[in-house]
Amino acid sequence: MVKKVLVVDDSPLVRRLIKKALSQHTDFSVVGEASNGQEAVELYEKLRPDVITLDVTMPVKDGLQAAKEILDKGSQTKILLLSAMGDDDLLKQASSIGIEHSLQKPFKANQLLEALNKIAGG
Amino acid sequence: MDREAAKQILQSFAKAVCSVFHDLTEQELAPQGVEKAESLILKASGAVVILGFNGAFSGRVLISMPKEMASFIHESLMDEKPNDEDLLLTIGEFGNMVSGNAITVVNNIFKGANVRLSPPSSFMGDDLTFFNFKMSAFNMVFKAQNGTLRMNVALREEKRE
Repeated sequence: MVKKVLVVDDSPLVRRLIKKALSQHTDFSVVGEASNGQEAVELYEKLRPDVITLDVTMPVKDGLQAAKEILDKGSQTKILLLSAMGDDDLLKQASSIGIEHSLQKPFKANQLLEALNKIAGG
Repeated sequence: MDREAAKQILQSFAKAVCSVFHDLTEQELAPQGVEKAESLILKASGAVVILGFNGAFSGRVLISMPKEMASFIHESLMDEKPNDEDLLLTIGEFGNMVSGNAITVVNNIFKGANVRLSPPSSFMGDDLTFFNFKMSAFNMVFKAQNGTLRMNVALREEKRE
């Protein structure tokens, strides 16, 4: 079954990069894009994706705040943190709200697919 | 800020810029040295990105490179020729990746420092002028096949709790 992916990053370039990587993979379909955490929460409600790729540093609402709101709703959606930051404190904070998977930028397309397959079983 | 912390931060940025550039382009950046900036005025040309960082250590980083180098990074990433908007996005994300990787190392060395980044601001032009206020700034120069990348890291200390 094709997994629905919501791509969340304030950089249009990174969103394009992720879409390009996933366009060559039939197990995943990008169903939406958000450029900040607030949009991510709204699109989550509308699209109910299987996986969210989530940046951390974003305007309006950051990635961790958005993830907490989504996961607090009892969501089964898996979240892959995709950030240039990857320090122990940040990962601990992410883990405490239920995010167990992360990939540090810059990443290769195959690393992204591997991570998504691991968390979503695509 | 004590000398050891400043040294670690500068080293982290120097390593990160080489590592990210290599990861994105598979080419090497050759460090040409670090020097303390003597002037408050900083001149830059080409594609420029500025990011701030805040926490136990705060400051900002400015990276500038020729448009040709930003174009090369974009083509390596996206496999397409960039327009001007693409170049601004590329230098912005490059700065974000370099700073994120550098600050990750800093946070792992100085536990509890909790340094976080601000979103990048990108510019393009010739003879751009920036000012440093109440910060100690350091210039670093790196050579690549298609030009010279310049990085200016400015540091300001805040009290650690």
